[in-house]
Amino acid sequence: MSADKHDVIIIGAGAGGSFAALRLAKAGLKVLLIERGPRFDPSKDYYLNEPEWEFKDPFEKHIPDTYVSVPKPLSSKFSHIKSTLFKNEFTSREFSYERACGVGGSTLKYQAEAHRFPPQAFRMKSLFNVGADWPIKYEDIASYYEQAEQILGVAGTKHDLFPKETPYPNPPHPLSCASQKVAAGCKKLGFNLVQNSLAILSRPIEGRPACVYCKLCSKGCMIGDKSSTDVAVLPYAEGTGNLNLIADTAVIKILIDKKGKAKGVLAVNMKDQKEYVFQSRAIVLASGAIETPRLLLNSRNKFYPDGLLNNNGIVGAYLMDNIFAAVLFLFSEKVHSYKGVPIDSRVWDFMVPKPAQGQDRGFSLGSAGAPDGLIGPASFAMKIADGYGRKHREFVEKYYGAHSMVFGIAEHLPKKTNRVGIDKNEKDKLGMPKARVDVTLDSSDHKIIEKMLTLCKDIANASGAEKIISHYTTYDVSSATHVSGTVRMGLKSRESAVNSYGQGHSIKNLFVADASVLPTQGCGASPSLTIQALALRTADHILSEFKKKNL
Amino acid sequence: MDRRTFLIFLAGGLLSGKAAFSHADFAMESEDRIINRFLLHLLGIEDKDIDIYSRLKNRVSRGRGMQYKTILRELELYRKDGDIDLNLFFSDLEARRIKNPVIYPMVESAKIDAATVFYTSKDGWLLAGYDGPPLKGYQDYSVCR
Repeated sequence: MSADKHDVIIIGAGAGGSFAALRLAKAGLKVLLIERGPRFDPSKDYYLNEPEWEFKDPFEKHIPDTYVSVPKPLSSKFSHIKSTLFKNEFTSREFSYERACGVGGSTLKYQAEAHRFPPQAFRMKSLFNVGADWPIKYEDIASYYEQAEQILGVAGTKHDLFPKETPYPNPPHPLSCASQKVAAGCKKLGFNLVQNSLAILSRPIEGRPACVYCKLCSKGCMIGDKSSTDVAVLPYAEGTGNLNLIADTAVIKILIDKKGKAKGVLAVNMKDQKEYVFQSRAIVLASGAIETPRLLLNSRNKFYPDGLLNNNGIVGAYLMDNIFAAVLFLFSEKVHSYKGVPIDSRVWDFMVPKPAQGQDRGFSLGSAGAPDGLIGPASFAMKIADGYGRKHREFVEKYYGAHSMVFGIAEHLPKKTNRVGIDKNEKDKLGMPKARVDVTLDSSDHKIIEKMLTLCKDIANASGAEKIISHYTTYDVSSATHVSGTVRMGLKSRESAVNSYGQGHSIKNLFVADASVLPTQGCGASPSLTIQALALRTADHILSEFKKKNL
Repeated sequence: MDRRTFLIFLAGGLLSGKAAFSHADFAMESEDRIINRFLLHLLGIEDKDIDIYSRLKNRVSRGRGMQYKTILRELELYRKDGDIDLNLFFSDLEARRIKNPVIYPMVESAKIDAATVFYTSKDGWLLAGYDGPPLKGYQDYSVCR
């Protein structure tokens, strides 16, 4: 590997890192993008054309074991919302980080929802006295949302909650049969189920085909219609000739010079275990809300004995988990619920908190058809079809393809005590101390889960469900896909680690461009588009800093 | 011992060895057939020509394989007039009348094994009304690189 000095090193080729790399490389900077995981080849590494596809996950074996979770007791007061979907009963809650590790990051397995955060998400403290205010308003990021949507080819339809000047680049995906029934059910209840905005092509663009509705975004898109960043972003960055992308390489330390500025990184090649030092004038961390604070804390040195950007103990604090509830039900007829995009629709009616009505935060609902993990017939037969013999067979014959899920997702309000630290005992296979995740859901989180669960059941019944068979909530089963907040942005350094551009308050040439910087979770919207828009904004600021010779 | 006597003893030894081997073959084949019938019954599949167990045997661990021996021993208790009464076995299973407690989780494991094999095959897809793997082949599509 070349040890030439680069203008910028970006750590992590996921949602944010890829976008930052694109912008900086296109502007002519020499960019080194380092990714711990491999670069996947859809023709060889994905399995969706094989008979046993249900039991093959291309990403699982590449996810490193880099964190430990502090188990939390379950509140008996809310035991009625514990999950019934799984055969095992959980006696405590443990944080479970859902991610992919590779070029593309978690966009490799995400379901490609491309949501803006609504304007009120940026002012939760001022408007509703919960959460935090961002150091920027919706208007400051709106143009970056537009740019990110264009780059990804987002398919969607405009909605008043998310002010937008231009139409989406692509028409929205149609609702599946299952979601059409759910839409009718929502209408009976006075809710609006609308088409989702998705980073999945609804028509061919630049050699990439439109979606074929296999519903398996989470197992890697074999044909390139899902705009994971390995397909939709990085090829264009590499095409500039200014991007050097190194996969299978883990950064284990950020190096600091005698003036306390970031000067480079120490990295290990995962295949030959050799160490390399790369130097640059600026560094962007984009490894996600667990790994970014982990790296910052593990990079402590004599200048920063508590870790980088952590002068006030803020790094790792305010971790936000997923707050989720879902109901699995059966229609009385088959609706091919295993076809479509993973989440084709959302109900945005609850995005504005209503404290007087017991809703202290925003949340949204959605229709998923057959959910991940239950899409194929073998999984259905194993996990859903009870009994033996004829009873079991007849259940599969009748109900496979008639099963459907309605879910709710709420924001997790930031609390300083929910945090990522460094574990004193455990290290990963590279010898780097693991992250220690300590997150507790409190009674207000449980109440919102309870509320969403009730609404989901109401929607299922109103949609004509023959039977609700089970439910799942993050009261007991963690599935953290939207984890965020651990290197939050803000105006004041005592309450934040970076400014609104993701630039370190205490180390000016160190930036963060991932979910760590989010002060709030967007009222129930998915965060990836916001991460990507912020990454573009961060990159523009880096360019400005270079121009002013500040870096 | 003269040569004739020696040859008689040799022939007897060879024949009894072959008989023993044939008996072992027959016994093993019979066990596999019983387990396969059990798996078909477990999933409610009426086509007795479908072979789940052969596919499953190659995939399960040695420990898991021993579970099938345990199930087989339990099934033998239901042998009546030369045949195993699977209906009675499953009736006792569902009513929790089977005394050996390990049978219950073992049957659940077997159900998972059988469903995994059967519903990733064309026969299983036909039964479920599923048209097969989500994509027909990578070569049908192109990806922008």
